[in-house]
Amino acid sequence: MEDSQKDLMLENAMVQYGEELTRLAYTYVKDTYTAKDIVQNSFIKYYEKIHTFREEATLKTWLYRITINECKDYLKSWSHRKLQVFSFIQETARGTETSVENSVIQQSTNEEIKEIVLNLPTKYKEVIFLYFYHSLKIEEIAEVTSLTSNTVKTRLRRGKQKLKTLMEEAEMYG
Amino acid sequence: MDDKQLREALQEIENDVAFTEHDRRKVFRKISNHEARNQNQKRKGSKKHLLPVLASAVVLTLLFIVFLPSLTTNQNDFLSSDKVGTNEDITSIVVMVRNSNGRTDANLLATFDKETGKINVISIPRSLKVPILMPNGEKLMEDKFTHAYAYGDGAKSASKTIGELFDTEVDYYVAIDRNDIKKLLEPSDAITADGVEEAFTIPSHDGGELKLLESMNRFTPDEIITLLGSDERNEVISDIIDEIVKKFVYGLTEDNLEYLSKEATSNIQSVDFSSVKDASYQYDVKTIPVAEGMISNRVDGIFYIEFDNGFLNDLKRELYDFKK
Repeated sequence: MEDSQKDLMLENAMVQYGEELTRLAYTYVKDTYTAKDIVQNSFIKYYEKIHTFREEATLKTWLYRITINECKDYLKSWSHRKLQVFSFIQETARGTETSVENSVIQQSTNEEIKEIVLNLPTKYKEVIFLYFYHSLKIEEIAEVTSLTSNTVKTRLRRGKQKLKTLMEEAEMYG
Repeated sequence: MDDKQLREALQEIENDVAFTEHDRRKVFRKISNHEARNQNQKRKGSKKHLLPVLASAVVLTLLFIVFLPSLTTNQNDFLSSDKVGTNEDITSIVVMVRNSNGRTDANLLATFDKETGKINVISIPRSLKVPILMPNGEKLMEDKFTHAYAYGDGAKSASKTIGELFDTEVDYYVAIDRNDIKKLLEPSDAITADGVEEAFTIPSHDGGELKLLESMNRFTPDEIITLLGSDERNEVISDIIDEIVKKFVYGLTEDNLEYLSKEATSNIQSVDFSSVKDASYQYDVKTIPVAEGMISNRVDGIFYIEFDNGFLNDLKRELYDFKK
């Protein structure tokens, strides 16, 4: 395959899937800059394997899978963990300084849901996002996450249950 | 909060995620930098060092098939026409984990289609009743598949036996000692299965019991091998086996394969592992469940598993079906 043809295929894939993959990565890493960096790496991997792709459907699920794997690798990485410790210290310090101010800020229900989902354990968060946000079918989620359909269904159910409990707690103590 | 509200709430998330032209140019720049770096490394003759030994075990060896010489040269001419697997793009391999008594505790038959990049895997119950064959096809006796390695001529007999059962010629075999597999496993390799709705136990190879709890399970290397060779199959166990197989295939590293290639008994001569990096992303792995067609039986007080004939024919077809 000629380089110009590969470039064109990559450009088309980036135009078509770039944004949805960035949204996908964002749901894992909660940072736009990192999400974009991860998606760029996914596209580089696509470029390296470009000759093996023939069908559109395969490409989309492959890109989803590789982006999810990249995100999980990032979340496990030392640089990310270091960053988390840093934000925890910052949050704790800010919490003691402005707790009164914080308490009077009323978040809208949708924002609360959004925040709670983003802070769910990854295994629940990913299936909830893939299902409700990216509108993937159970079978597609199973494919991109390398889980079985039954596990996806179970995690979806438990994730929603957990979300409900956390929402109730937020209402009670918020 | 209902599904609709949840969907609406999530749609409000972070709008600044457009993958702009700037981002696209950055990808091209990174590719060109990456290629330039690779050129330099080749010139210097340095070998790229890949990830250290991480998650990997039994099923990693499935990916041996990906790097076999037969995939680049069409060497499968020896397959006779009455066998199921006659497509020259398809390679088959049996992966066995043998214990200190020479019995195989886990036995996986895998087929790989070069054309579609798909891998089909069947995990054979250890007590499956089979005619045990010598490498030349001579029948020794009928017994559990787990004994084929010890009673016959090691891995060659086990491979011939499983091939005959599935009407195919198995191209390659790999047998690994249980202890060698365990050396590759680290605590992080634990498989979790949270699809278990009700706690239950399955018998393990050493007469003990493996407990599957409701909610979270963490399996040790020994338990993973027990699960792979389990005579007890239901939807939950089939799902866990599928999850284990996928987890290991996708966790493949070059170092794992090199380690296994040194420790294993195999008819694979030489394998180039240098292209392993990211290889796992290319392949779709499907584990074919066998629970549905299994019949438990006792002959002279000895427990056996048998496959229903019609189901066995379905399995043979499914093993070579890469369309789904």
